[in-house]
Amino acid sequence: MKGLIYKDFYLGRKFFLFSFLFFFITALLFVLIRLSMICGNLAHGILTKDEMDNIKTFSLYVPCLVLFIPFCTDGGVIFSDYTSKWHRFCYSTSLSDTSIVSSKYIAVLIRLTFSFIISILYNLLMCAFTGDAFRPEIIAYLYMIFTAAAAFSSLYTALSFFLKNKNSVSMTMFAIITVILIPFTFQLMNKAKEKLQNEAIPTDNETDVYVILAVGEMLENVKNTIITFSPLIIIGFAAVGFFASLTALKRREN
Amino acid sequence: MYGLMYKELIVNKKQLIFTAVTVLIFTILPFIPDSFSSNDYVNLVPVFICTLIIFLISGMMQQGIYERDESTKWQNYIVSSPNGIKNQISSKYLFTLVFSIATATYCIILFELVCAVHGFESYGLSSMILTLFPFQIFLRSIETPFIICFGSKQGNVIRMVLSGIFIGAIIIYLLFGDLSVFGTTFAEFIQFIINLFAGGTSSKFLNYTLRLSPAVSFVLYFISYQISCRLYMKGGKYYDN
Repeated sequence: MKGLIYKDFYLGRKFFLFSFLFFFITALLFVLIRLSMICGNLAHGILTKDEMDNIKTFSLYVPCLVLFIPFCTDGGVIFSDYTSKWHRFCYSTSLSDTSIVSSKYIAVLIRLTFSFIISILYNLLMCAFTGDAFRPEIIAYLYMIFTAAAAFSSLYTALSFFLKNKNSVSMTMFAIITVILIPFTFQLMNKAKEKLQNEAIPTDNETDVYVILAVGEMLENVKNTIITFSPLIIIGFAAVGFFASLTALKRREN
Repeated sequence: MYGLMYKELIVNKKQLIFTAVTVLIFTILPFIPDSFSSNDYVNLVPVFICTLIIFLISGMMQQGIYERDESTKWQNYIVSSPNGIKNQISSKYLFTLVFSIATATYCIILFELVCAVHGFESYGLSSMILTLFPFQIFLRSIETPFIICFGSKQGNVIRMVLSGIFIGAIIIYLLFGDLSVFGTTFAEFIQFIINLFAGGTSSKFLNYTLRLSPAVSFVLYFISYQISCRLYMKGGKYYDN
């Protein structure tokens, strides 16, 4: 099992290294922007207070998303296993299908835990650097991202075993996310529109406030739901994904 | 060598057609009537952006010509022909140069034409395109030996790193540097750019840099060609086929 996990990380090392480098560059960019807001050009009244608050929020979470998103995938390892017919080699070893699929999911857990820890460390460093307080809701939002990433990874891994082609998996994931997000987004945009009208919020740009309200509403609802049911979501998606992957693997062999 | 240049046209036919179609779209866009500001400087910005995009598209096309010849069989064939390596490299360099000159000429004509049609004053801003052209040649001088020596994949990585360093330097300057030279309003910023390219700034360094850049770029381009000729055979081990 350890060997299988090590193999997956070794094969995907360039992809993960590049993704981590990209996270590092994004984090550095946001650190520079926050520094500029304290003692650079951005501290001279170029930005409004709302814009500065938005940048502060983005600086906490955007680098974390940049880290989580590529680490949700396996760097194309499952596809390369099929291309190189590695599974035929497995027949000559004592490895079972269950151990092969389990290693993929354990690798997912390791990658996401690593991303979660690095995200918390980044936020701690950013708060220490800028003098802001480290609020507990930062961990809540990161945990929400972790749960969503775990669900996404399970779905991605299962689809990779089924479809065995990167483009097919990407298009299927895109279609699933679009189908889920569109009605959800419309519903929340309507709620935001009602709130805007009922509370008569004064604004020069109705569209901006409208979008901000909708996004805020969406994040708050989603965060509370996901955090409440997080263990169920992670275990449920992982179990369904595991059995689907096992079925796909056995079917390929047959 | 002229045969090799003709070969470039044939081999890259599809990419040239695609580039031509994209350039045509960005040629038509500035002519579309729109509501114009009373400030001519502001009206020139969309026109300039379209010409800049045309420049970038042509730059992307030029980068693709190296990748298509990355084959060990082709390399062995060209080495066996008389003056093979020099002809191969010089055809690439000349193709790139001619393409850049054609793009710059096209962009200048387009810029002046759009200003004439809409009745704007161009303020000689098309001379900015004449400054972009040696800058593009300068970038090619630096990145082409890397592409020839390490193959287009690794050469592109090096180019991305160099571009990243350049963009990073600009971002750091924008975040922490002295922005008062650019003025306090958008119109003052455009005026600064116009003065810069018309040689009217107070900075002698900037004035001399802009005036000498074409000559320096061409010298660097020739030196880059000499280096690439020496490095051509080293690139073979990085080819996929």
